[in-house]
Amino acid sequence: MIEIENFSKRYGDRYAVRDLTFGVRPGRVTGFLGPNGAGKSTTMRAVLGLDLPTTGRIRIDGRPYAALDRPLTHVGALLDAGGVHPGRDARRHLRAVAAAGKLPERRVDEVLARVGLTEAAGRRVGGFSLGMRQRLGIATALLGDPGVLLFDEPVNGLDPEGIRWIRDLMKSLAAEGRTVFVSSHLMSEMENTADHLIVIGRGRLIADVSTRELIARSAGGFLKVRTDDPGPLITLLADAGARVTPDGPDTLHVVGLEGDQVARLAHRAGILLLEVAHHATSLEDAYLQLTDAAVEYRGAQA
Amino acid sequence: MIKSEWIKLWSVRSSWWALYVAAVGMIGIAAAYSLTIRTYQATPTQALQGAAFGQLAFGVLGVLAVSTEYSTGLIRTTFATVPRRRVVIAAKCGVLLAVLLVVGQVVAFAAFFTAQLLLGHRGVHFSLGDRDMLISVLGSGCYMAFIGMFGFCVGVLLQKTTAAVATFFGVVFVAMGVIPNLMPGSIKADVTRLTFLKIGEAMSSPARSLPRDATDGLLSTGAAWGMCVLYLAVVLVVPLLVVTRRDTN
Repeated sequence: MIEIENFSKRYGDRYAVRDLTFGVRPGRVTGFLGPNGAGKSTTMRAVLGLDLPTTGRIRIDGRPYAALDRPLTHVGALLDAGGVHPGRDARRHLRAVAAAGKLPERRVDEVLARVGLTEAAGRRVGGFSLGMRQRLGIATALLGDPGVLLFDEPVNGLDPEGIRWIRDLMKSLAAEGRTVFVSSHLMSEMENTADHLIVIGRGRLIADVSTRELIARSAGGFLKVRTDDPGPLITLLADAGARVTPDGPDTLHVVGLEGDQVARLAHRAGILLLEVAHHATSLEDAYLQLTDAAVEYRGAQA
Repeated sequence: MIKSEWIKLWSVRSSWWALYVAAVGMIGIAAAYSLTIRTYQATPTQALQGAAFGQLAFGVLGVLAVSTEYSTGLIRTTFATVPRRRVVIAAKCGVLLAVLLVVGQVVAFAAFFTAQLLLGHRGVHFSLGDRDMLISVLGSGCYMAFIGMFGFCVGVLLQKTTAAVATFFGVVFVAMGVIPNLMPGSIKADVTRLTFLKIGEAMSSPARSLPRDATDGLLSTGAAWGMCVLYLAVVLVVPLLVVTRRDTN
């Protein structure tokens, strides 16, 4: 359980996060979404007590991070860089963290087994693939068998197999009753993983909704209509109250009419339709609509 | 926490390399000196001047012991594991200082005995029991340990390996050589005496046979030890002061 109340973080005269309030509940995967630079990593570091809030409060299991006894037994985190010395072998990295966290040594072998690194435990991390490093980072997060897990961009740069593995792991951790909080800047990564979404942009909260609700809430998509000579059809549909935008020589995007209405109108006017297809808004679109106003550094329009 | 830092220190090769370099440099120079010096010029404390190598290696080890933890991001895991950062830094400091003191002494004594053995074969005899000899050897090792801790302090302040190593060299070997020369003549000699290298020379050479005179630019043995302890205190306290005040992004 993570509770964030009126959290703001200022660097110099610029706010990275402003007046953020939300909670992250146990037993489900909560996605933490926002464009790059939205303040996700700042928030995660603040949850771990690494950055101090400029204002506001953050509590884990009802207490501020600094007041937790043996913090690793409450919170485990995978931060983006991975955080392992390349010259150290995996086992001694974990032993060092376990010793600092006052955790029993047997946990080292348990977490190595859970992430599938038992064989590679004696090898130096510098020779690990990105996927293996990520697994070691997750092993580090699991060392204290914590009830709260934070993953900052865990699938960045992973191959499809690695992505699937992390997805399944997060779901199983949530199913064990843990609080799983995962950040990402890509909606598509969260679509199949997260049960609940916290969306932020420019350091402010944009949405705190279930994944299903966000899809439902988003506008209902558009019709793709193809015809040999779009001219007359554009006039016809616009007169009927639709918003029509051409997309290529023979294709129109139509919003405001159902497919059967378009077909009847065209039929009465003697216009041949080659295709009428409904395109639902994906979660990605819904997310882009939400964050559109909040993208901080936008690339030039192509 | 001590155990954690102990594991961290010994589980990377660079630590071993730094200590090998210190040992080989110091013992090697003692041997080379003993084999090549004209016997009528031989001074046992000169054989300890390989500490110049030892301090390089110790300083780099001091920097690396902490800068790599920042550069790899491991420091975030460490501070999340132990939110009281001063405890972390104190443990790191303690482990490093203990290791450097022990290794520094072992290496200094090894260099001394090497010189004793080789020069003995050439008919120049001296022993640890000679006047001020023991304190010279002890001073040599302790000075190297201090320089290592100075490297650690620079590492905590700058967090980046290359910047910290460059700064370490710049301060110890360049700034402290140049700055005294910019001082007005009246205090130039005094400032020179307070630089790390001159303190180190004073600590490792009380047994030297040449007479001391006003122009040799060294503090007395006691004063040099005093300054070293004072510097060490500063170098140990500064990391504890800065470490709680920073965000760790």
